[in-house]
Amino acid sequence: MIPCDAFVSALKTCSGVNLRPVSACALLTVLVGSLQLDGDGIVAPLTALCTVSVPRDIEVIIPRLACHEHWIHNGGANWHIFSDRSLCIELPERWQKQLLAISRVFSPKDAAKYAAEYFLNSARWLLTRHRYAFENGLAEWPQNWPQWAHGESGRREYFSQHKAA
Amino acid sequence: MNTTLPTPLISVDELFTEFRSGRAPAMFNASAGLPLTAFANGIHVYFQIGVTLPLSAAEDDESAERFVELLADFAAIGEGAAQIAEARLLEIQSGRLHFLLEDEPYSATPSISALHRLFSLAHAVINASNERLEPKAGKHWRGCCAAADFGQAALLHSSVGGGSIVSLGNPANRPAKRLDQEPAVNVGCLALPDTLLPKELGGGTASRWIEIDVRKPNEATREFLTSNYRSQLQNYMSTRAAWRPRQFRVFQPNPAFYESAGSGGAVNPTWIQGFCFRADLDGFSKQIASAFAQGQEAVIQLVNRFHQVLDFPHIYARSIRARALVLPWAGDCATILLLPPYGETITSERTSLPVTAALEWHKAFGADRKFEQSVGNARWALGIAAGDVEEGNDGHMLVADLPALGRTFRISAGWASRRSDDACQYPGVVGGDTVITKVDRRHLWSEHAEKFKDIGSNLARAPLESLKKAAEERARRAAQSVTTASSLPARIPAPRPYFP
Repeated sequence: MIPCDAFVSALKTCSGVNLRPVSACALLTVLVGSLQLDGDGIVAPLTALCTVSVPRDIEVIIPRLACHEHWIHNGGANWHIFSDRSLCIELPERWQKQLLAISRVFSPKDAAKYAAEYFLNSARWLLTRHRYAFENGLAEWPQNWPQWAHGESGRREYFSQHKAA
Repeated sequence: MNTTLPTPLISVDELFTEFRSGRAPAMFNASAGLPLTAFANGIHVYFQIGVTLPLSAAEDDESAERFVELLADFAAIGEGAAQIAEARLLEIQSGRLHFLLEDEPYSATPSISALHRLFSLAHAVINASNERLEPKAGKHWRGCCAAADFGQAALLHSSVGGGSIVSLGNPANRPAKRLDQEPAVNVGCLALPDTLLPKELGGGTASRWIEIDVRKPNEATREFLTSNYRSQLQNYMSTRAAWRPRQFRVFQPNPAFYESAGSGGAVNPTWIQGFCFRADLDGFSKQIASAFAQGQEAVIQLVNRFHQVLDFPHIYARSIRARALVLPWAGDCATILLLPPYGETITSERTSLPVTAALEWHKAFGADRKFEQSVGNARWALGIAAGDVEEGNDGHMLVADLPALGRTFRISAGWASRRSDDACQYPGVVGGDTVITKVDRRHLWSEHAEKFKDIGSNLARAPLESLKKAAEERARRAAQSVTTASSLPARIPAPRPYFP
């Protein structure tokens, strides 16, 4: 099992992360602060104000990322955003399988560090696409941008790829 | 002259009647879209006041109010001087007045009486500025200077940015450029090409600018001016109605301001935060000079073509994602203030807005062949500035509609306004260039920033092609998703978002 506390500690020490816990209970730790956008090797002194809710069982449930910037696209499912402004950064099954595999090989602390880096990489990637869309006036998610199909189709797509691999 | 060509010429008087009416510019031939145009032979003179940045970029309400009142006083000096000297006040920009002193229609050189009016006007305006404005500006006062040139120009009425008279022609263009150039015109001086000057004042045939101190004229200069204008202007300023208390109260942007900005309505004096975007039509002055050399018909054709472009800033303002406030044309230079969404700061706009605004300008202009055909081989040079907290007052500028001549003139003031103008006018900047300040470059996405190469100590330039390439590269990268190394010997999967 990946310890939630170790995940939170690892996340806070990642470069360009300025998050601090604002509440914690048996099920959830909530962090608020900024993430620097530096995806794709492009550096900009631009941060995004975010809330990250970290569940106890992070190897099952992806930490919830909500972004409070005005430039977040309000395009719903096509932009991987829920009505509460949280973002769906990854397919849960892929997250689970990946972390399960890592947990089998590495120590819980190292696995937590890996999970933090995985989460951050996916989060920044999606935030950077929202930012790009804002800057360039994109209304629709471009067809050549990677994403899983929505709903059950996405799961099937993943499992078929996983099986083939 | 080709008699089949429509000649939408009106007198300067008629043009001003139209302008003062506040109505949309009338057309000579509405179906053909021909603008009413006036030709004027005469002296164009610009007066410019200098105040240090702490005042023009005042952060507290009281200083800001004082600054707007100072600009309104300067506009009032212009209004009074225009009446006294029978001059036309064509434009009021931030700290700058543009007059036309009409002369004999076909004269190739200024008449002695026109020069007499010029020197008298300069003597009156520069002294009135010192007397009226220096006490208000205090230690921030840097004086007033002027530059003038003579010749033919075409004048047309534009409703863009609240309305202005647009002057096309070298005599209207050159003095404005002279005031922007270094070394600056000395305080209290009138600069003019020495070919215009009588030999008693040092005139000659060399193509250079001569400066004459008109504050306290020497014996030779006194022969060419009358102090009557000065005393009449003093009288005008002391008897005119005082400004109402708090008439120039400065507001923070509110929804009404954004509404007015979008609809072209009047605005209260307002502190805005944003980028000042200037687009200067490089090469158009040469076309104007060439047209004047060919004759009236060529000039009318050129004016008709330019008229097609006049509304383009509004089209651009609608196409760009940022909020935009369009200011009046200054000759062939368009100015637009780009603002963040209501309630936001420009912090998150700094990474990309200078580049996307520049690309969007060229894209929107190129989207309609009508526009490109209108400007011939002239191309836009763009100057964009905001500044940050360390330098440039964090993009804050003052916008106000100044009252004069029974109507209002929209102005903007502040570091960003000044620097964007410097950027456009910097020696060596040509059409297709985008020039930004180094301080703004620091905030760009790194792949955009690296396209801007240093020019001078404060500015950086990128050609259009390199900005397009950077945008293409960014689009290519945005479509990429690759596995990434982690701190463990295990790679992180390529990002791929989902929605249940």
